[in-house]
Amino acid sequence: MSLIDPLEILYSNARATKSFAGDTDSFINGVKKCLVSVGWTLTESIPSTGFIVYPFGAPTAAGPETFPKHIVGCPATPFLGVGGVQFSLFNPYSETPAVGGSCFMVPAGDTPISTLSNLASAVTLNTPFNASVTAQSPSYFIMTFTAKIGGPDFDGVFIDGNGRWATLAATQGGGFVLTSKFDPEITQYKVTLTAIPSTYGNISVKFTVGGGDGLITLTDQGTYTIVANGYGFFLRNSLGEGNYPFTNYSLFVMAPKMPAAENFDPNTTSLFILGPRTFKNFTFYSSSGGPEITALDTVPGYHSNVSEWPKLLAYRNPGTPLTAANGKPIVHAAYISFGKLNSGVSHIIGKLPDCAVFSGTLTPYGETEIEGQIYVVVSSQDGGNSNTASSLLMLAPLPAPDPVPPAPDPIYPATQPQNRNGTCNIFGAGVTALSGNFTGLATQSPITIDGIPYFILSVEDATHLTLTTATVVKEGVVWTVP
Amino acid sequence: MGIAYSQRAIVTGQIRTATLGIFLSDVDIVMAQAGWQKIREIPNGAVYQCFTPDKKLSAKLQVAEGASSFGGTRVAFTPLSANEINRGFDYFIIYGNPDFPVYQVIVGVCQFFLSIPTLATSPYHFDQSSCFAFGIPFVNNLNNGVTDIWWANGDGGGPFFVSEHFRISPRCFMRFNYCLNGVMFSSVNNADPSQGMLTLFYLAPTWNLDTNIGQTAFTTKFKTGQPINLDALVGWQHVVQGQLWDAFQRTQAEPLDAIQSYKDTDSDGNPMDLKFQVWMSSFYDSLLLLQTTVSPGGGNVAY
Repeated sequence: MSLIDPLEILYSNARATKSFAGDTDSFINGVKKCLVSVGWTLTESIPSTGFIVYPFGAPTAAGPETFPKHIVGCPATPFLGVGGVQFSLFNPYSETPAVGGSCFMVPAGDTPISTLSNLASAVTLNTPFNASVTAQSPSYFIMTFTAKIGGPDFDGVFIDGNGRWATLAATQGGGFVLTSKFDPEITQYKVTLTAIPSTYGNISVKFTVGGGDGLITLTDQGTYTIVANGYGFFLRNSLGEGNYPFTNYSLFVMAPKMPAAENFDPNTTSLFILGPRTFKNFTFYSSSGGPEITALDTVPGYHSNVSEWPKLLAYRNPGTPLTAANGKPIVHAAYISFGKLNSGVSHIIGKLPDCAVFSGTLTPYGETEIEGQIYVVVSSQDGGNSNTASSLLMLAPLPAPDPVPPAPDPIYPATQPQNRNGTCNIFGAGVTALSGNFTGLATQSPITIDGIPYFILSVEDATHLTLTTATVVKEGVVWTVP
Repeated sequence: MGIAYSQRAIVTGQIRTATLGIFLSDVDIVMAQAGWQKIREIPNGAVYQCFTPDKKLSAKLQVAEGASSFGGTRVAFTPLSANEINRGFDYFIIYGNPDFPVYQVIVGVCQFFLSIPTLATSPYHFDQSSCFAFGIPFVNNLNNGVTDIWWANGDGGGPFFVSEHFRISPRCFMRFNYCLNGVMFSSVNNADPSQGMLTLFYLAPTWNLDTNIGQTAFTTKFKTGQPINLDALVGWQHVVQGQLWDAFQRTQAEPLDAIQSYKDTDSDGNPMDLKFQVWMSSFYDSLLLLQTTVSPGGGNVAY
């Protein structure tokens, strides 16, 4: 073994880059796809949830049953709307729902809890959400909605509680938990991507390592581009860095490689996270402008002690950038040094995989080519104030085309084929197309038949599908999907 | 990269200071042992010439009686280009002070280091004249247009004229020369660190280390407590010009003048047991000079 420490860049065996819109769904799905493609494991799909409060109970119905019953249709203001699917109540003792209404008619119960339970059952049967009711007091109830499928696609579904009986809400919190690739000399950690409304942005990126969490919030705007490997990623946005504190666009996270053969301690738990606005113009990271987080054999934490700041190492050279004798910059491994929270000291923790330190100033978030390889510039500082001019680079492969055919997710509403229609026959829950084509319609997606909204349980083939609910026998009626 | 082993004799020895004659005689002996050629004798001195192991680069060193000062009688070490057109500072070394009867030297095929044992700074009153270093660096194949290159640094040579040099610091201040392809630079007294003075390049945090923010002695050590071992890259004007021969750096302060044992492998993968002397020890960086002569045949592992 050589006495001199190797300064070679450590390359992983899988890297990817991808751009996607900054809305929460696109972001979460885009990051997930990219990370999975480079070896991360999808550990959990988190369903979207929401709730509304019924502070004054709910209407009830009481017998005796009277005849003839009044035929009632959908009122202008439904009792509950779930993402456009409407539910209204009727009195089963004196009323009967009209056929062909634009809402689901739900029988009121003898008690508020039974009315709301009927409503929850109807929601569960006819929407992509499971609904349940809990009683907080005899007149105070909470109805909870949980998407039947995990992921962000059912975030932001508007739940209209009528305003008279219940509150309004939107679902949130759907997303994914991903686990970084295993390497015996790199700390494995989890990233939870969810949509959670916040003043600072609606994208929540939570890091779990060492038994604790670190949280970064990003703003759902612009276009994001991710460069990822199995151990971390760099996110940048077309809108730049953002402004303190309300717009937050950039993020760099990497678990250092700690090879025992190079004097590192592979048993260390370590993670290095740079939040928005903390790193673009620096290669030492002082928390100015935003959060930086490190984890070192303990839960993730924010540093106030300057000695603990994360810092890269470069050949000390204040002022003009350092070059080799042939005029080319010096490029070597990205050694990262930082301290344990509240320790007051730093150590060299490891080398950042697929990253390099470049002995010069480059345009942050731009790209540079070194010996035929494209690197993205994560951060860069000049040699002013007697700092060392240096840049942190991450190897960036060319963007890969989307797989063909496109991945099946996300499902409704993101990939619902638009403006389909035709005529069909209905027999119970079975539907046979007389014209038009059912191919590509997604499970749990809505379909309107003869003016009545339904949800699709399954699509058998181009002309046959099954609804989630049985209905009557009809022939030659019109079907449409939104 | 790796250590640039000259595979030539490494001479460690002492220069006695009792008289000028003894001083010059001892210099003459170590120079001969290290393979330097005595080009000519001059009044109370001589001029020596050294070559790189491949004989492609050369420089000279004049050692002769110098002007006395309030600090005492002095010898002047003067670096010269091979053609003697460029002449560096006279780097003065006091002799004849009974409190310091010997200097230590480490002389390689084209490097010369001299200091008082255990001391990094001058102990003499009224004169900063106790350290000197000079050499032709190992030049890698990226720098193959080089025909003439050497460096020198040392003490300030006068009262209160404290300079920084390779016995104290990886970066030189106030009293150094470097020369590349016939163009020599001599330091000025009011330079600042951003002007690209003669330096060893070592890994460190990227902020201004010349201030005192956020510095801990552990910053450039591994969590195991070990520092990084680095090539002894040397340069100036923000350019890595080459590498000191038979030397490396460690990113922590090591005990000054300690003799430390290390293992390395030659280019054929054969293990080598080596001893190095800590010649310079500073907060972020130490310079270690080889004391063991590496036999030819093992190959040079540098670049």
